[in-house]
Amino acid sequence: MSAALLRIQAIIVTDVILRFRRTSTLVLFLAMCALAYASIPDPSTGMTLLSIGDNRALYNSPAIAFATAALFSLIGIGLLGYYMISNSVKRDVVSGVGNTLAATAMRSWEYIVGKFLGNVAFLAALTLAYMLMMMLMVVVRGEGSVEPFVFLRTYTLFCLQGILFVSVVSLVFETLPILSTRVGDIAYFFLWIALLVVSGERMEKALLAQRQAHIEQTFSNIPVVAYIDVMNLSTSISAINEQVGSDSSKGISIGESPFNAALKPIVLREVGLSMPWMAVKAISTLGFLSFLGIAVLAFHRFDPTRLRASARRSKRNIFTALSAALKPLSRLTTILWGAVQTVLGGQEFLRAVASEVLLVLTLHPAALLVFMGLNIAAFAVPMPSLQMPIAPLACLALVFFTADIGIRERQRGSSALLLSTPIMKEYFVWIKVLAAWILGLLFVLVPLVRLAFAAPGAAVSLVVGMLFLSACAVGIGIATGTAKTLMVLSLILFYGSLNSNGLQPALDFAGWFGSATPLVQAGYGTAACGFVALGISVHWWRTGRA
Amino acid sequence: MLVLDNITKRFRSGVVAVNALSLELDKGVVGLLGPNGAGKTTLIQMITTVTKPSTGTILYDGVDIVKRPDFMRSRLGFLPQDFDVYDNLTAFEFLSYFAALKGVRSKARIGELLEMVNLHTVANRIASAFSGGMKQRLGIAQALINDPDVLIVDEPTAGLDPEERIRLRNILSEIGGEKLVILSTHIVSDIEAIATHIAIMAQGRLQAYSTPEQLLRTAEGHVWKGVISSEAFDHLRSQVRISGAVRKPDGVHISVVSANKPFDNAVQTEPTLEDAFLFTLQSSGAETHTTKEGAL
Repeated sequence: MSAALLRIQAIIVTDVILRFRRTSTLVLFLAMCALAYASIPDPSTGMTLLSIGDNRALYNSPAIAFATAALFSLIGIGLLGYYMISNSVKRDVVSGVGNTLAATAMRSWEYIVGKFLGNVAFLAALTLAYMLMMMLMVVVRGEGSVEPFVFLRTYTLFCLQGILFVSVVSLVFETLPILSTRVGDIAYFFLWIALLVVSGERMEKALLAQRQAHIEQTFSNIPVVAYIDVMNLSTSISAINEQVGSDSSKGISIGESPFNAALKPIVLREVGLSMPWMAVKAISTLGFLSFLGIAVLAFHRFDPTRLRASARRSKRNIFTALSAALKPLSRLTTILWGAVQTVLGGQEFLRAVASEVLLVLTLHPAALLVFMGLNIAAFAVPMPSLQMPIAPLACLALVFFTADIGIRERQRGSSALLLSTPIMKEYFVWIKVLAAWILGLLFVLVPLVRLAFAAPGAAVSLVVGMLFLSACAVGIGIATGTAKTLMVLSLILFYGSLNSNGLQPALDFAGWFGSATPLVQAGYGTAACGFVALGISVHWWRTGRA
Repeated sequence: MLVLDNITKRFRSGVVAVNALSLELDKGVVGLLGPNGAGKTTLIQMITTVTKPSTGTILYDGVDIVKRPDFMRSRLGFLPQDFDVYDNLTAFEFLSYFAALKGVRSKARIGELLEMVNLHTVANRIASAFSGGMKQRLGIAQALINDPDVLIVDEPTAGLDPEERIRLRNILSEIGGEKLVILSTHIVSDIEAIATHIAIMAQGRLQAYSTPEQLLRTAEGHVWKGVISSEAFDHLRSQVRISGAVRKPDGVHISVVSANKPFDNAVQTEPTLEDAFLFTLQSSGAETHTTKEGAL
């Protein structure tokens, strides 16, 4: 083996080892097992995994492989996958190993290729694990035999492109200064939505028109947007349409959906892609693989001069510019620090909570602006606007400003300093959760007062929702050691909640639509307690109090 | 032979970290001394090809390593100042990783190095849980894994206990017999027993480059010692450069670097390397923040 290949292999192996030894990976695998079980509903409940029109698809290997591969490519790889792998270069910078790596004979392109393949290997392993879980589900809930090669081919066909795409994009984002921060995390979420919407809507329309006109699909008439359907949602819908017929009235639903039990289930064969489609996919893949060149060119190779410049550039974004401009506002909090000492002098717990709230406001002066802006707006807007858009904006602000509240000190190496202050070690999690919750409630102070009279149910939901988000921020942050997990999970929750438009009360976690029932409110309250318990357990385990 | 020709490193902020520095280094242990902020780390980063000089050339065996960094990298062992390890790799795995990156295929070599730095008994433990000294020894092992022609260690004694320091010095001294070892530090005692040459940097410039003997000779006649009261000591230390002081029942025993007799009962004494270092800095007008064990 040549020296370059040996180095690339070492980078891949080390990357995979590091990822698989993290507790968060174990948690992820356990979550996937639960997700695998939950994602294939028992047809006797009236729900099914894949419905075509009102018919359900029989749970045989081709159907389960196809539907789960399509969903996993979209959510597991396209969204969660990105956030799981988007710190491979940063890890080398933060750990300090980068300085040593830079002085070895490793070339920049070898490093980027090694990291890319490390990303691919990790995501492929996750996909494989998920696929094996689904094969097991065929045994548990299936109506046909387990066909391993059908699973393997289907998952390769519908997930591989997403794996490669996410692996490339995460490296490009990590090496471009402005996208290597939290801005990049948010930007990727919008990129994901944009790809979904553009490729989905445009392709659906184009293919429907072709089907209705009975035009045979050739390489040249495959819609151009198919090239950006890298997570293959529209491609998979198109593929199944090819198999079940071109009747446009047949709505295809992948994921838990109702069906008519009186109708005979449709038996699917293995879902594949025609040669023209395969060609489009190959060209599209080669196209975005070329973006690796951008990563190679932008890679700093741990040069301190470039890292410093990169850090400066990464700070030139709208959030830091806003924070800098609003820094004078934090003088207000300086006055409040003194007031807290005077009013809560002997109350150590309350003083610690208040101090934490003030610290967040001092660190993020924009939070003060949000607090004032939302509350002033809440005086003027009509009642429905309090729930939409004021409440979602407040929730988004809470997540943004408190995403690192549970891990801030750990990330900056000042945990020991903080935990040596009175009561902080014992009540760390409670103090952080309460501080975040108070901050969230401050954002919606006026809306809450108004809602309490007009729509008390929605007000309760908003209070519970803020508590849920606060507990998530602290519990998930402490457990995973990163703010990213909270960011991505909350963005998914917000997306799901907004998309449901209040039709699914279970997703109305913060009273945005006023459709949450007391049971839903109790559920989110209980989940909040669960996240607090998670935070306390991990905190105690880390600080030797378990 | 490593030749630095008029190299300058200027950051975008306008700060000049290294200023028109020229130096020729052959095999042996070169102690790179200088106060904090002198530019030692930036100089080392340029020699190790981690960063490029703004101007000037660096030649190793006649090859311009700014243009052909791989030539240097394949011959280099480097322990950076802020060396650290990954969270979840064992010492053996960490070393295997760097062995692969440096093209070393022999597993025996990894075991040999772990034994050399006395980590063979903990080779399968997660390295991030090691003490600072153990991590530093692992860093030395990774730097030596490819049997480098040039070994560069930046502040390597940070976090090491006295026994480990001596062990490290012995290792570096042994390697310096055949190869070029550059040891950057602001602690004179780290290099006084092993350096064959000493380069002193301050404010980005090279202030001196000579053998320890030559350096000592330059300070002859400028080092004074004597015993003074605590009150006089407090007064004196604001006026002259005190290179050593020990409080004893009869007063404070001090040594002072000064061109003139600093106090009445002061007598001239043989300079130590610490004195010579301070004298060099004093002569060049640079401020110092050196550490000397036993100094107050």
